[in-house]
Amino acid sequence: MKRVIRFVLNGFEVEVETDSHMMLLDVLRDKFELTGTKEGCGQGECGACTVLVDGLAVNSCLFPAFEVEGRHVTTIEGLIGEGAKLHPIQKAFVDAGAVQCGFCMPGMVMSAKALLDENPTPTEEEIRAGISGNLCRCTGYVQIVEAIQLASQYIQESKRG
Amino acid sequence: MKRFDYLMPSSIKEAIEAHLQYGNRAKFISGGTDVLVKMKQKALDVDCLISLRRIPELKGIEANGNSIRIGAMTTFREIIGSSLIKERLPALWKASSVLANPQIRNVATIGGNISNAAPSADSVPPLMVLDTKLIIQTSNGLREEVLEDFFLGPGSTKLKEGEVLKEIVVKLPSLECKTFFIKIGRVSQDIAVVNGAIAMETEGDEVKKVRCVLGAVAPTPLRLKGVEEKLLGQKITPDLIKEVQHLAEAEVRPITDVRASMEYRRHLSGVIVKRLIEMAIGS
Repeated sequence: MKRVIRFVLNGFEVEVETDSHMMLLDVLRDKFELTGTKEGCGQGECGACTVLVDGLAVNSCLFPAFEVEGRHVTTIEGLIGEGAKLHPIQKAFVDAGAVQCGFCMPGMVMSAKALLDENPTPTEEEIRAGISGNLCRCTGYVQIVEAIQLASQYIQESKRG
Repeated sequence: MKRFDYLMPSSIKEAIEAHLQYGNRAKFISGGTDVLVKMKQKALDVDCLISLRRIPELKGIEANGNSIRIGAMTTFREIIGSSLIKERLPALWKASSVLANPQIRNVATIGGNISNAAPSADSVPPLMVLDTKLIIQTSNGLREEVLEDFFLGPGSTKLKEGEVLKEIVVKLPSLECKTFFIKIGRVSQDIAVVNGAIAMETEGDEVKKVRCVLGAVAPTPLRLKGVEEKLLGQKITPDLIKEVQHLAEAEVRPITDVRASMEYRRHLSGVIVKRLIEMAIGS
């Protein structure tokens, strides 16, 4: 079953023809060539495919493509600001040394974004709960938690100007 | 993944009609975090998924007299966000907040968790320790099932082909009735090794009412009737708790799987019951 779906992708209205058995992840990677979003387990365990749908973190590997009709989708590519400037969360991950192999990073950053959008100054416990759906096999998470604390600080500072 | 059609009806009526047309080659899908995983693992093989996500009548949480009505398509995120649930059904709130992880809770629904009928379903013990009934929409009207009698085995319920779980109706416990939930897993976002809930009301020192349910210890969530009978009318003492702990170990029928051995689940069952009682009398 084919269908043209329309949605807002990283701020742009888009439409694309897709098959009924495709997941949002397939559409992002194969149709839009937005390969920042990764497929890890494909079963909603690892979080490498995390994107935001209407501001909420979801596993795009388990999100049927047809379901994004009329919704707002944000991927890691959508965080880059004008002049290809890193988003404060991305900058914090780099500054805190939180990135090793990098495979989990797009999903991890998107979960951090969903968390900080809702709770701008989370405790360490809240950060750990916020990224509990994202597996990282390199870092042991300590630097990632520190990166999100730093990101929170960057965002607060930028708000104060 | 296998090819399948994907329908998005906007009313229950339309959804049921579509299902009847496809027969057993179709399945309803809510958040999809179980159904799509089963499709990917080839544990489920259907030609059509019928999404219930765009049906407004399946959504929402509301107080209705002495009960709370939860639409089957209410997500766990919405349950955690409900102050009504947090205040009046704290064990369900707790279970919802430790179910899987944020990404899953943002899409997974309570109706899906119940219909999927996993013996380990986190939302079931807290609902089963209270008087909970399920309202089911059929092609010719509504029918009801008591939650406790709803499960037939792992993945199997009294929902018949083309029937939609519409809402969950929980009778509010009295203000004296305390409810608690405990989940033990390798990590909390993992599927429970054993989970459980208690609803207990005491008068003076004596147990006036009690219900205790454990999950992942039998083919369906299990009410521990032996434990309940033992506690009823008694004063809670350390000796009684120890006795009840052994009763719980004897009453469960766990299996060994990748998450835990039968022996460990049996041991945990006693520990969880002990802790639930201690929480209930400590509060």
